Amino acid sequence: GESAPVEVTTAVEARFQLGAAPIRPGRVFYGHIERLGPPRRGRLTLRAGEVMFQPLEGEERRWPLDALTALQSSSGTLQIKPRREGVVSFRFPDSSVRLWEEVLRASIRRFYRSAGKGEVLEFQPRIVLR
Amino acid sequence: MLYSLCSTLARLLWRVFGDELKIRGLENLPRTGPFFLIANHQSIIDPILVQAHLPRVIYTMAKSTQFASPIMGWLMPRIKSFPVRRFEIDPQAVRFALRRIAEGEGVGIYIEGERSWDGRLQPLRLGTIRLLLKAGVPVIPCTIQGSYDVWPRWARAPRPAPVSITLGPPLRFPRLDDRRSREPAVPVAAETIMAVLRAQLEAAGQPAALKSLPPKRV
Repeated sequence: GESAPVEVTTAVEARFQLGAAPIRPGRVFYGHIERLGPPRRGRLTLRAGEVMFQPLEGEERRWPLDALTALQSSSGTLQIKPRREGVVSFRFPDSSVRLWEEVLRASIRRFYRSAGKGEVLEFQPRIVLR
Repeated sequence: MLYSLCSTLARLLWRVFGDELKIRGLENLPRTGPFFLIANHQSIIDPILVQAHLPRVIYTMAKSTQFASPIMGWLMPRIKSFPVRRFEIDPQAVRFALRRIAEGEGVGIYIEGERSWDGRLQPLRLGTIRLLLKAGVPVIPCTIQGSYDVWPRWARAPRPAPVSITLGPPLRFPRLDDRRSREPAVPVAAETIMAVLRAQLEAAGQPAALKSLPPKRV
């Protein structure tokens, strides 16, 4: 439904982007690839208007849904790109990346629709509204 | 050198372990000059099959995470794959593609942006459509049908199944260098490409794994 706020949570392994490395075989510059940090175990929670990562150790991280600029699955992981931060990659040992991609997409769609900001046209390479 | 060696190896492996492979429309691939090859994406084997069986070298856009391990980081550029960061607009990937086009090469892009979860065609990436319109070179619509039966995204290992690769006649879009003239043309070009890819896939026949699925709700 549109009105009832729900909270869903699952165990994850999160990896945060540390930086980017150039790919330059020979003289041609091919581009950059992201360097991800070590996996950190914790829980990913989606609730009204935000996504939260609570690691087993360390500080929790929260991202309002409108702070996410991209969302996509990549092999067995779900990647989110918070505004002015590096990409964060989640692996789901007890759940399905496909399921979480759909749940997050639906939440973001509902968030922008209920805020009167329009419909989501694309989720990657950036969330685009119309 | 390594590109042709890997292509030969891939063809050999397919002959030994694979099933039937039909390639239609090779005459539609330009013998010389630049082109974009725009394909659907059912499986991880798609770029391997396409690059191994087409007579032209194809520079293929691949997600940046595929370059992450030392071995793949070394190998991927040598088999003409270039990285794109899919979670943000990646101007370097666009520049790389346009430079190869300017040099008269072929550039391959899997235009759904990711492998299909269920084998069916997904919405096309509008950024890629903008790139095609900016370049204004022939666009070869390429459909790969059946690779989903070989190795779907959710499976741990491949299994033999017939695959067909179809290259359609080149699509020609005007070169639209400035944003103002390009933007109105994006949805039209997207619809054209989508319709061609869909028609080619239907003509090639549905993969066995999809025959039991209900029609997709949009």
